Amino acid sequence: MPPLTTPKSGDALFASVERVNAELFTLTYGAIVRQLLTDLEEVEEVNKQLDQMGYNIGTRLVDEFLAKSNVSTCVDFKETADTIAKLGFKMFLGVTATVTNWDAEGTTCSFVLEDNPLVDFVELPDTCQGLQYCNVLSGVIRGALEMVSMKTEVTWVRDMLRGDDAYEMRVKLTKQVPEEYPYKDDD
Amino acid sequence: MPHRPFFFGHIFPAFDYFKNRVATRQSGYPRAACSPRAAFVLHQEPAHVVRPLRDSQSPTRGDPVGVRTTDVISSPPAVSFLGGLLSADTLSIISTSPSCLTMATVAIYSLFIINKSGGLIHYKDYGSAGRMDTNDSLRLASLWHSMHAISQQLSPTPGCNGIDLLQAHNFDLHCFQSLTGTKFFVVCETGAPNMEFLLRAIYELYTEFALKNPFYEMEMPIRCELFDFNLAQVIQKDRVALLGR
Repeated sequence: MPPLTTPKSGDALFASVERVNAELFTLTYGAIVRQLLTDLEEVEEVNKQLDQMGYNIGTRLVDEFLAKSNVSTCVDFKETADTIAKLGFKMFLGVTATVTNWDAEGTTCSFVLEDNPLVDFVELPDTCQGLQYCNVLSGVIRGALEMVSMKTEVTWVRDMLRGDDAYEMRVKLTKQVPEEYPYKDDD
Repeated sequence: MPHRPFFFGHIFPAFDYFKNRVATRQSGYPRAACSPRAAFVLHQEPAHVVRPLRDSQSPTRGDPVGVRTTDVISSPPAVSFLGGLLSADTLSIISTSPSCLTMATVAIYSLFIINKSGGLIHYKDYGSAGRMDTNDSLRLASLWHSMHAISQQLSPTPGCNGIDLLQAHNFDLHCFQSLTGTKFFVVCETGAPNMEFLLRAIYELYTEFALKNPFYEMEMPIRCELFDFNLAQVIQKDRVALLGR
C-alpha cells in the first residue's frame, strides 16, 4: 500500500515521538556497559553482547520507524542509507548522521556521527581499550535492516572515545533476500 | 447444474486442500441465498479486476473475463474464508453469498494480524455471526497469506505489493502489509470508509504495545493486555466515528 500521508521530515518525526531526558538515556546506557564489563570481564564478549542487544532492539525498532515515518519502499540501498541517516537517527537519537564514502557498487557506505548522545561524559580507561562503546548502534542497524530483508555487516571505523574526530560506522550490504512464497508449479 | 472450473483453481495448489472437504458442511454458517459477487483489487492495477463469479442459481450468467467456477472449491470452509459470513453450496473461493444475518450494527466484523511467515498472531471478532474457533482462524490466516503472496506473482508488472482490497457482496476485506512483512487485515461492512487509516493505526499500536513489550516474543501470538485494551479503544472510536454509536 502506498503511504497514506506524505512522509514526515526528520524534525517533524523527532517532534512527534515521545522524548526522554538525554541524561537518563546516557546514564542508563553507561550503566548497562559497566555492568556487562563486570559480568563478562572480557572486552570482546562485551562488544558481542552489545551488538546482540542492538540487534534485538533493531528488529523491534524498525516497525515503529516504518509506522511513524510513513516511508515507502526504498528504491536502492542509497535511499535506504539516506533514510536511516536523516530520519532514523533523528527519530531515535535526535541527531542526524551523514552518509559518505560510497563504494563503486553502491553497497557499502559510512554513517558519520558528529554528535552521539550515548557517549556524553564517557572516557574510556586504558583497561578497556578494545571496547566498542557504541556497538549497540551497529547492532540496531543490522537488526533493523534484516527485518526488511537486507543482510548487512556493520563495523566501526572511527570512534571519538579513542581519539578520532567523529564516529564513523561502515555499513556493507551483503545480501538482499526478499521473502518469497515457496510456490512451485509442479506441486 | 454443472459447475464451471474456476481458473485460479488450476493455479493455486493451496486450493487442493479444499478438494477433500467438499462434502463437509458446518452448521452455524449462513446459507447461500442468491448470486455472489466478488472482485480482487490488486495494488497497482485497478483495471485487473476479476469480475463476478456467479453460481448456477443466478439469473444472469456469463463472465466478461472468462473466469470459471469450480466444484473443488465449493466447500463451506473455503468459502467461509472471510469472517464466516459466507456459505457455500456451489461457489468459488472468491465469491460469497449474502448471509441471512443482519450485520449492520458493526462496521468491522473481524481483525487478523499475521506475521511474516503467515502465522496468525492476533484474531479478534467484533460480532459477526461466523465466529471461528482457533483452528479455523489459523487456517484461514495462512490461506490469506498464501493468496497475498500469490497475487504478487500474478501481477503483470513487477513491484506488486499484494492484495489491498477484496470486495464481496456483503463485506470488504482491507489488507495492509508492512515493509517487514506483517499483515493486518480487517473484514468490514461494504463501503466502510477509512479502513486503511484504521489499519495504520493498528500497526502503530502493534509497534507500541506489542513490540516494545520486552516479554513479547516476536512472531508469536500477541498476549499483551495493553495492546488489547488500546486496540479496543481504537476500534470503539472508529465505530463511534463511523456509525455514531
